[in-house]
Amino acid sequence: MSLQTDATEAAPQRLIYDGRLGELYGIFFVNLLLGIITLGIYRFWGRARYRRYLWSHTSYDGDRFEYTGTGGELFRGFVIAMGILIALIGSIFGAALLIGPNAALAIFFPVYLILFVLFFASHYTALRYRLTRTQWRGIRGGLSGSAFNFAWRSIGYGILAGLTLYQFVPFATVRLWRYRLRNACFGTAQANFEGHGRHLYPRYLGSFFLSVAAAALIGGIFYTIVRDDIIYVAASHQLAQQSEAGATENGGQDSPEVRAAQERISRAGVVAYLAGGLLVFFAFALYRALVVRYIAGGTSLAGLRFGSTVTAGGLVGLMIGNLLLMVVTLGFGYPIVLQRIWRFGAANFLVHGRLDGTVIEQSRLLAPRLGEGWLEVLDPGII
Amino acid sequence: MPEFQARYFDGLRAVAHDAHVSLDALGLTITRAEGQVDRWGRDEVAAKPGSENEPAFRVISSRAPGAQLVVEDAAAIRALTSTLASLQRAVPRRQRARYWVGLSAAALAVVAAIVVAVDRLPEWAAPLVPTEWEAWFGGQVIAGLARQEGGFCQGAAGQAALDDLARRLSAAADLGQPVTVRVINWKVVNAFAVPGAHVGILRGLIERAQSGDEVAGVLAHEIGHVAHRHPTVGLLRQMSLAATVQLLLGGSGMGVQDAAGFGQTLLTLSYSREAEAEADATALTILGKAGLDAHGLNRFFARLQKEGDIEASTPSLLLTHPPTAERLAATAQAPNGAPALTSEQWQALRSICQ
Repeated sequence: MSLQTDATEAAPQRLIYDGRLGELYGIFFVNLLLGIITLGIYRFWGRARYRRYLWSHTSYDGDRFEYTGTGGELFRGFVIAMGILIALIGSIFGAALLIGPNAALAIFFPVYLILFVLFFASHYTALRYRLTRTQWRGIRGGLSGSAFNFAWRSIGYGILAGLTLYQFVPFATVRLWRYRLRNACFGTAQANFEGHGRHLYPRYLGSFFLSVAAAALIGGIFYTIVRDDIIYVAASHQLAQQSEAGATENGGQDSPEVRAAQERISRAGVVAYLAGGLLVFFAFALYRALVVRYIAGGTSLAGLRFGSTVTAGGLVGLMIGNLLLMVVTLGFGYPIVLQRIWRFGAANFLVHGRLDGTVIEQSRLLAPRLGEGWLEVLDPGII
Repeated sequence: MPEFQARYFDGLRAVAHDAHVSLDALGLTITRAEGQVDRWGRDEVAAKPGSENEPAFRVISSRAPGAQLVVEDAAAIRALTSTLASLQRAVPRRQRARYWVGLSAAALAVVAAIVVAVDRLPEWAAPLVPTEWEAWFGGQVIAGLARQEGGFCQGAAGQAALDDLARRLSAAADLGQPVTVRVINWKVVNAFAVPGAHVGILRGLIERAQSGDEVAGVLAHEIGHVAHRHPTVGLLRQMSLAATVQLLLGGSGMGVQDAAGFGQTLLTLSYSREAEAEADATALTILGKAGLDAHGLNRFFARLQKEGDIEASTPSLLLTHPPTAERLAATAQAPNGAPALTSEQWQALRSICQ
């Protein structure tokens, strides 16, 4: 008996998601109908309903998660953020009308810098909102740390990534996750993250060079196929320019042969662009899957350690499948997409160890009163 | 007296207590596995807002703020909501037949509304659009295009020939008044109808046509669009589709919206293929009624297809009016009827842009 208990304790636990597609469609149609009637205002309440459903159908260790946010909080946050946004943008036009174009130009850049900072800060405040609205066994999550600190880091790392020809990207990714995770908590238990970008760098470099090689390969194939056409078009344009004066007879139109060549070039260009984009996407899927596994693997909370079994193939299948679903159903497949995402997440997330709930007390961090206004205004996500 | 098992959270620590609950008309008695006993009176309890529709029904109490009793068993939830008046209003939605009936009705209403809005509404609404609005809008579109490209062609004799042809074809199509036809000085081979009975022909088409019959065929095709109000219907359909997609995907990311926009384009194209076939059929009828040679339309398309005329950057006739095998077969006619233009008229039209 005790041996068996030890064995089960050693095996990782998983999150269980037991939501049903039919019920998600129920929410989808109600949201759609009320969205039509309220000219879209209902979407905040609709979003809260989706979250309540998804959270309450996800459980760990026998107890379901609980989402306690409301549509009203999301709506009020949106209204306030929208009001400030309109005031900010309006100030540029106001300055232009009242003082002059130079004044408008002078405040144009500060205003856009503010919006830029708010864009990154909004991702952090939205995470804080969601964590404080998430409960498990009656204890809520939380996030300390400063949204503006996070925003400045994001911007600084972005600049650094550009300066290093994107070689800083994996280091930035890990640093930003470290900031989030070390500030995250469940009740009084603080989460921790141990990890460094150098562990991701080799794979990143691999994906990076794979992408470059793929782009070069596609470019080479493209050039080999259309080289004759390019030379032909260039030569005939050269010829037309030289005899410009005498060439009015066909009204400056290219001959059908030249136009056919141009058409072949642009058709091959479109194919090359799509093929190249797809290959780069595949190459980086290898890296993205490693990031998920690495970030999850480095995280711990109150004696629990986490892990992920996400693979590049799984990630590619999920993302391309969801994209195709949305396209062929014109958006009516949204509940299927949600169901796929949640199933994938639950199936690929591992929890090692046992939680000792007796040492975790209710969170004493202050919870924000309004939700996600800036994120909603600047970067509306999937749910 | 109903009794059941439940989970109890005290709201202070992250510990789940297995609890035995016994329920009577005056309240609940909660006995935790560890031994503590709590009594929640019927006036102290409430359903935690929103939880009535979750698989976990959560009961809270003013006696123990932060604490909750979690019940998942359907029979226990029924017992709670039927025994305690304060929980009565919290009967889970999914347990009410009315909810499922309402939900199915809502789903049907949404699908029907969207199908109607995209498929039927544009055709119903198009005749209601005031003709002056259409004429103004169409005039703006044509004038804007002409301004952007080489302007209108001004040849008076050519315009007179075109007006005469348009008058005869419009009368054959039973249009109240003839369509306004202008030639735009642009080398692309194309012609189009916009709302308000305006037809634009591009210089390239006149240059490529080998006879007045071919121009007449294309003009009859465009008048077919006008007779069916295709330009206005198409515009309204685009607006309905865009509004629908916005509603469906209002909150989702840009990538998803772009992707859905692609689906939207495919749907619009399938409608436009229907419209092309309809305009072709009407064109043949019009040409026949006007006593003209209905062979020109087919001949022009067939020749264009054979010679190849696809420009990468500009929408030419073959791109907007793809001459599929069915289309060519449907418009095939033996040479019959009178020539559309006299040879003087044809010469005047050929030089309308000079």
